[in-house]
Amino acid sequence: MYAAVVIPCPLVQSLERVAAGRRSGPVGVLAGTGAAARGRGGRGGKGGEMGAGVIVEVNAEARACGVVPGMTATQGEARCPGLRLERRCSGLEEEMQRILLESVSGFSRDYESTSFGAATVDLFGTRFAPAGGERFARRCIERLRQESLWACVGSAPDPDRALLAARAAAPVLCVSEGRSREALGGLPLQILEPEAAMLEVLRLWGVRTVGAFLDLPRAELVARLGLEAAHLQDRAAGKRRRLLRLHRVPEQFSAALELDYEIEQLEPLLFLLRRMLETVCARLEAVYAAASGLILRLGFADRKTETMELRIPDPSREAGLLFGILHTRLESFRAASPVVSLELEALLGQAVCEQRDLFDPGLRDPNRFAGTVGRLEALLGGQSVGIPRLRFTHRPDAVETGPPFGNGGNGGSGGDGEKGRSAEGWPEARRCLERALGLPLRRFRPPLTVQTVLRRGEAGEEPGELVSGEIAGLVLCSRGPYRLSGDWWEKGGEWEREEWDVEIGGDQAGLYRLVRERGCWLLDGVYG
Amino acid sequence: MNRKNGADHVIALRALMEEKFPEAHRRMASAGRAGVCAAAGLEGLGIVEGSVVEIVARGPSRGAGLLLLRVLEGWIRERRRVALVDGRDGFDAANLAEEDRDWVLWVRCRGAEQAVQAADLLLRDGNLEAVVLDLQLNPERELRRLPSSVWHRLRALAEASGRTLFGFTPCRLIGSAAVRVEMESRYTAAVFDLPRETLGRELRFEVFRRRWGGGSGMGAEERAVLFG
Repeated sequence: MYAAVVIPCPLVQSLERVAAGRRSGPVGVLAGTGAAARGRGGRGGKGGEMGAGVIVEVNAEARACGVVPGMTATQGEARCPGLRLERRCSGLEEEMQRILLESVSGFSRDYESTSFGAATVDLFGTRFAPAGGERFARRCIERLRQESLWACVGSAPDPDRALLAARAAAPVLCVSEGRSREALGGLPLQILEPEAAMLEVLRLWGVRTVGAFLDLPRAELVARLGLEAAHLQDRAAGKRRRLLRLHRVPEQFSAALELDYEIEQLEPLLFLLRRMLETVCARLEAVYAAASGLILRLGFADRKTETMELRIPDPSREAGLLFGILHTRLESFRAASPVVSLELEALLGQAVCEQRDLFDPGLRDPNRFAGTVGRLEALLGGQSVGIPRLRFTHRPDAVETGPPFGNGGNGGSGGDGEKGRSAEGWPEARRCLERALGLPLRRFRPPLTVQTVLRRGEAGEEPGELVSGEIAGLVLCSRGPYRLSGDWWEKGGEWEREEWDVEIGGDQAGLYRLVRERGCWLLDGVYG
Repeated sequence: MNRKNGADHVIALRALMEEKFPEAHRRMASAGRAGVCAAAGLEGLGIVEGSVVEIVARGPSRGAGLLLLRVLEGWIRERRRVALVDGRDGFDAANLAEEDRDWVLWVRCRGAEQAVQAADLLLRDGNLEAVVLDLQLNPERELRRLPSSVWHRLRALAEASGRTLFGFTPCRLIGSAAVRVEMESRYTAAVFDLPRETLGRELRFEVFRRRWGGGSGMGAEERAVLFG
């Protein structure tokens, strides 16, 4: 079951929709776009220019006065002195078509933008199938009426006949399979939109209606008018069932707002963002998609802009959840001047519906976790939260944090480049470090400066006592030196150090790592 | 009373008991975490889900760092993610095997106050199985400045989320801890030549456990186990 929605006199309605209160009286639309004329009285000096235009569409009142498309403005005005002439407006036409498509998209996901002012909907699989064509028609007409548009709806077993029915409807015409001929036979032949030459020949033959055209013998018709006539006959009889050219909303989900005032506080900004987010989420829901990320662009009074990218670990179209993530991010944001414009864009993703690893329970709520990580980053700084990673270097304490538990909360997120190098690619020395003997080291970051007195040992000079600094005491035992160096091939990046493992007595008795670097003694950490 | 009604009554009674004495039911549920405690050498200490465990090491080189690693590895071996809140940014990532690092969320703090706030957020979140709060390197006077209410708040959060909080401190600090472990080992330079596994077996600690059903008495704890 298909339904076609047609807006009669679409050019007139696109202009009249925005001019509520001036809906009465004969109206004609002139070819070409430009400033709208305001009828005879309103044309003033532009009379000559307007008069040169050709009327492309008229409303029923103008038609009743004898004005038809194809007449010049002067001819139209001569036939109908009260005729109001308007010029086309492409912006308003696009707006009207968008409203039409948005209205039908609420009933079915599968619909086509058949032509300007016409849309065809596949009702199969909706609550209106198989015999709810009339119910659909009433609801659709009501919805468009709320948008100040008057529509006619026809339903039929195939898209072409549904369109014919809609063009003949007043305002609803439902055509069933067996009664198609009866319902459509009396319609004028022009409704099939044949070529002008063919229409003229048929007119000369005395064929005026769809029914009469369908009665013509097919073989003779093809012999005289060609295959085009046969196709036309098939369309009218419903013998050919074409596929709809499905219309899909462009996959860009964004909302923007230019403000007349300045926003200095978080609350009013969040209020506006919540509204925008709800709009974006409604659009996402319409196409069964989810947001895998949000991009927020803020424009400031000092003409600067700020772009924030927020990743949604578990793609979602839940406005509340996305709002929570936005809220967390904005809580820690400070700007030098007030906000005057905002734009919110959702990056398209698919909601994750996958079976979890049997042995890896994953995170309970990845989005909540992302929010918590965001709060931690706001508290501690961006690089202070994440999975511990070692840089691809022999330099000691070359650590950094990687993205926390990757996408969707899975372990083993890995990085890219040097960070994500597999175990096989790591220096052997690093792997030895991982299996180090002795107690684990806790590092002092930054290392503590100490003054060290050296003494002569068995293998030369060695630390004898730490005499100043936070940790001081006699060195009871020492192991070393362990000499390390690297990056000597990079100008200015070379490093060299000497490490000692020492046992210190006294109040701070314990095992420490002592380092001599660039002539300075440093306590690198404590073993424990 | 027919059999079906009897079963219903038992179920209702269980629900009532669980509601009245949630602590006891967590104890039962903790059986599944036995592997974690065994891996860390803490089996038999009565560590239940949603409780706070304090590990006190009064001075450096007492083996608290080794125990911390074993706690982390215990969770990782169970394929559970865990947070390490590093109170003085002292954790050396090289101590963990590369594949194990992917299971640890490292939160690098610059002070005790930050660390407590971070632990608070992570316990509220409840996504990670345990939060390890390492305050071992933080100066004692800084830790003493923290109001005792923060520990009670953390205990309440741990209970509510069913997540375990391990606090590593240089002195007795967490009054609300269900289990307190005091490190007794004292290592010398000889350990530099010993493998970590051997050192782990030689860990000595004293355990104090809050008396079960001991009312509201703060500090009502009993000496439970002495290892070593």
